[in-house]
Amino acid sequence: MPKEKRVLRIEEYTITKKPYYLPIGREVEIFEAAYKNCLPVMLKGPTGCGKTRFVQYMAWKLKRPLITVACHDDLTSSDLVGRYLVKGGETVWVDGPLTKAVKSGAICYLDEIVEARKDTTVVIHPLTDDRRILPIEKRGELIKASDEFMLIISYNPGYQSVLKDLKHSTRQRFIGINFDFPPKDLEVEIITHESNIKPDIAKDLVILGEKIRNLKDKGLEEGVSTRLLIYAGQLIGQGIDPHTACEVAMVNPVTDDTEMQKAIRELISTVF
Amino acid sequence: MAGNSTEYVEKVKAELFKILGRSTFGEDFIEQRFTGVHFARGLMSIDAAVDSVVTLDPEIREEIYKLGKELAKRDSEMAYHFFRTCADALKHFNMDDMKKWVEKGIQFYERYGEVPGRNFFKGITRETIEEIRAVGLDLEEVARILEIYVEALSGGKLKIQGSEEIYTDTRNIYLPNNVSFFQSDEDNFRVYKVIVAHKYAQIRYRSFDLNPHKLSKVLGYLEKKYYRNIIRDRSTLETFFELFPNKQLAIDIFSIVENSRVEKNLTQEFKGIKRDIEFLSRIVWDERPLPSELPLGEAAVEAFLQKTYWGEVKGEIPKEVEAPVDKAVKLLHNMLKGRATAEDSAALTVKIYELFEEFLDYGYNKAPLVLFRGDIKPARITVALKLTEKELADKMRNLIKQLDLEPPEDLDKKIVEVKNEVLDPLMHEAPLEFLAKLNIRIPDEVWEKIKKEIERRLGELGEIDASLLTKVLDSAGRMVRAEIEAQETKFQVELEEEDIENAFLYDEWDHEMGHYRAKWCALREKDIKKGDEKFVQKTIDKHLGLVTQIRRQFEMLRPEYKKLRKQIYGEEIDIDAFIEAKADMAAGVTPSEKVYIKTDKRERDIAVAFLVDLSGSTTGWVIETEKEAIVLMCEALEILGDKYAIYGFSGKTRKQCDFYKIKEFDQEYNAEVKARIAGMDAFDYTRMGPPIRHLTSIFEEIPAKVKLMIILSDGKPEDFDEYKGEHGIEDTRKALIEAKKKHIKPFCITIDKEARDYISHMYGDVSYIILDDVRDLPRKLPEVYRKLTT
Repeated sequence: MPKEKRVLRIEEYTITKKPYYLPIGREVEIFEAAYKNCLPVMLKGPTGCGKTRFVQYMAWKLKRPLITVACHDDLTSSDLVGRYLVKGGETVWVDGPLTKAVKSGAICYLDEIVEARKDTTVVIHPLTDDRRILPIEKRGELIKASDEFMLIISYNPGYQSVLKDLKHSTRQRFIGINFDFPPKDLEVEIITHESNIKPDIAKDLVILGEKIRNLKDKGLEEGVSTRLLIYAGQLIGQGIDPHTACEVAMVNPVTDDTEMQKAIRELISTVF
Repeated sequence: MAGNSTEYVEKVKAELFKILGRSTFGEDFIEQRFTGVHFARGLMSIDAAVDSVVTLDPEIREEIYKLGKELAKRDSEMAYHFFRTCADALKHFNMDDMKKWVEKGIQFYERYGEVPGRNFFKGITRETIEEIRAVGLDLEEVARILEIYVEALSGGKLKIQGSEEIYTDTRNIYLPNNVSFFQSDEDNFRVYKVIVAHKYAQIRYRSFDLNPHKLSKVLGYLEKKYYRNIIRDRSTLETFFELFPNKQLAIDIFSIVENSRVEKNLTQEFKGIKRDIEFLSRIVWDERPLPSELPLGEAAVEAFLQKTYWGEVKGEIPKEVEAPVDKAVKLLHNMLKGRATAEDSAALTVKIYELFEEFLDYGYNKAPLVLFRGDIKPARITVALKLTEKELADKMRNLIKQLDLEPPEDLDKKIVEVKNEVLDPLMHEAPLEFLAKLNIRIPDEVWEKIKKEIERRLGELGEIDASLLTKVLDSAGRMVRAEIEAQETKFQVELEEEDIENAFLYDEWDHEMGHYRAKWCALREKDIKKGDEKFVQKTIDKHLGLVTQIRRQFEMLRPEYKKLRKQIYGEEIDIDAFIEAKADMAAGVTPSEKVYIKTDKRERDIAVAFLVDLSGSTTGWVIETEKEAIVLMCEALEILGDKYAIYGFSGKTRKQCDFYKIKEFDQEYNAEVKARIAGMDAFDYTRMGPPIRHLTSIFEEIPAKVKLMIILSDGKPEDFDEYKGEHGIEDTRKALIEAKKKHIKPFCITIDKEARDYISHMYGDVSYIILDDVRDLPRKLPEVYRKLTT
């Protein structure tokens, strides 16, 4: 077997192995339609419900390279667009991930866009309407995006903070696809697949997840995500007993409130 | 026990000496009494302590040493007395109690000094024993955990209440106020947990919500056999029991049969609870009476219970009942093999009743309850089921009315029928699906309206959202209704001269006409009557735990120093920015001058105003809790340093909109403000538009980056005049949109148990939460604020 190349140039990063993704609704169809029409897409939904996996799946399906940028509050526009670097007395322009994506016709995924500084998000504006251009001020250039280029942002409306809301001038440039936790049967299938455990145990995990999600907005900021249920499943698959696995995957990550923790622990010992 | 050899005694003595640091305590003293001078012997030797300690088992001794060390740290003589008394105390106490006893002694010592501390350990009184002895677990202590637990299990539809008896009426779970079966709180908690899970299961698997159609044969049979008449207006379950000549026997049999079925289902779905139930069934077994000592009827029921639950019977089974009991057990096992329902349990109850009936001549008393199964109270269940049905019917009727549909004649009956078909009674279906099941079709013209509304909304919001459809459906229904009502009220009367004196005039939105009614409402700022200043302190005392938690949480939000990168000026050079500028220069591009790091206090430039509904409907609980929540909020905001103001509103007609000033932005949180908070009271009606508009104009004068308007209300905007229903909702919605346009972020907290259908429309894009229990407010309000501003 040829050795897999471990270091890739970012624009060469294509997903060759089919990522596991179980469609919940018509999101695949909608995404493909958006891709064909060069529309930017916004994925809305709680954390850990499968947004990133969906993007990977679509990148694989559309056979486009995928460039992901996790946004944070120090992310500047040069981090996205690019900057000059000095290399042995010479100056070299280095493209940022966004520029690379625009040039190579990749899918650029800006994860958790609300975390980025507001002035940073503005650079994506000209890319999201019919102009589809990226101005690079420092070089005095405009790059026209190829038809394959696609911009995707993800956004978790669960954060209700007034300080971290996505501006309408930004959000109205996207079509929005809503994500939520999958329905019971599908979630059992997903967990069984991802964590390699028996469907029975996956079913118990889903029952538990459903019960804990009942507590959302009643003391819990967010319900347990599918991702956390998978983590618990994986730990159980490794031989950790279900109580401990659920404790580390579902109690500690979701709350610090001791009474809430105790109640969730009781739920765990009710189910397992 | 370890032998009290001299060697052993010496060892203990050495150990005690090491802890106490000396071998004599107290002192001899000379006492002057009127009988003369007495020589009192107060000097005590360590030996007395040794005598007590040597009697203990080695592991216990180690524990006792640990406790003694704690005391010796404070006062070695106190520890000495503790050692002397410990053997005696251990006759009454377990180790947990011993710890409590020591803690109490330390409290004594710290509060009153060394002499009372020493005296406390000199002996052990009955009073102390009763006080210390594990008195079990109070419901109060674990209520919140159980509430969360049942909320998670049921999706928030069941409530927990303290009671003398254990049962459920299908809406509430009644729990004992105290559980003291076990020494440890942990085990006592398991009792609560199993009861809650069990009652949840009874509701989840429909033990009490019997389907009359499925049971009609059984009911008819009983009616004929015992010549009894079915009484109207009772739940099927109550009717069923009433048909037996001996109702109690029927209830006891049903309880055994049905609970076996419920427990089977429960432990299949939730495997973990099985352990807890098994743990408890051991102590339940100990409490069961001997069937041989009971009258025959009771003996039969008891033997039936023991055989089905534990597979054996305590002592002998009386000969006469042996055969019928065996038969009953077989019947039950057969039923449990299949997928039985509660109706099957009822049918089997009849058969078993007939088997045991002959023993009734010997008298029959209610069987002692199995702890976690609790009691069955048919009359209570009837009341609760009727209430649930009524709520459901009201909700559907409302929806049908909103959609302008013709309600079918037998709507109530149909609703109950559809409800009976739903498998999980705790899962309420979406209203539209429910409508479909009722065979109510939404006509095309209503769908047209809905479509139009969607298009309009799309223009307004610019994105499609899953919740949009429901919102649209909501307002579409309202639009249909509005068209019918529109013909009636179309008048515009100017306000009189006297009405507008000293008043702020505000427009009001007329959604039917699609424009504002100019200067329609007269609002006056008013001072509120001062109340009891102590209210604030009392509230803080009442919620002490919560207050501490809130203080801690808000302290963490306090602004911190933060390094801002890429600034035009600052005290440090931003190396990254500098290199970038250098590279730009080398490349011949104008470099950025933002190459400094500025250490800056990240100011929370937030101004928040609370607008509290003081309408008449808040009288009592609601207003009191609103006030408490405001007090806690003030505590939090004082720590945070955000600018804040508190206003109340109420009024009567458009001529008299009252706006109460409780605390203004520039006012300090002083005694006067506190007295005004205490003085908040319920007045007249809820005209929400004018106070929102007034607050919006107040906000315009306030310099702040983020302006937050938090509105606390208890339901629909409603005034004495035509400001109700549609009109009130639309005007409030408009006022909120106006505020948003002025960059104010409104957030609404509504305390409302029902009628939530209008809310999503009224608040529209504005964030809101609905609390169905006002008691959550003091906890929720600071939490919401924290989330909103971080």
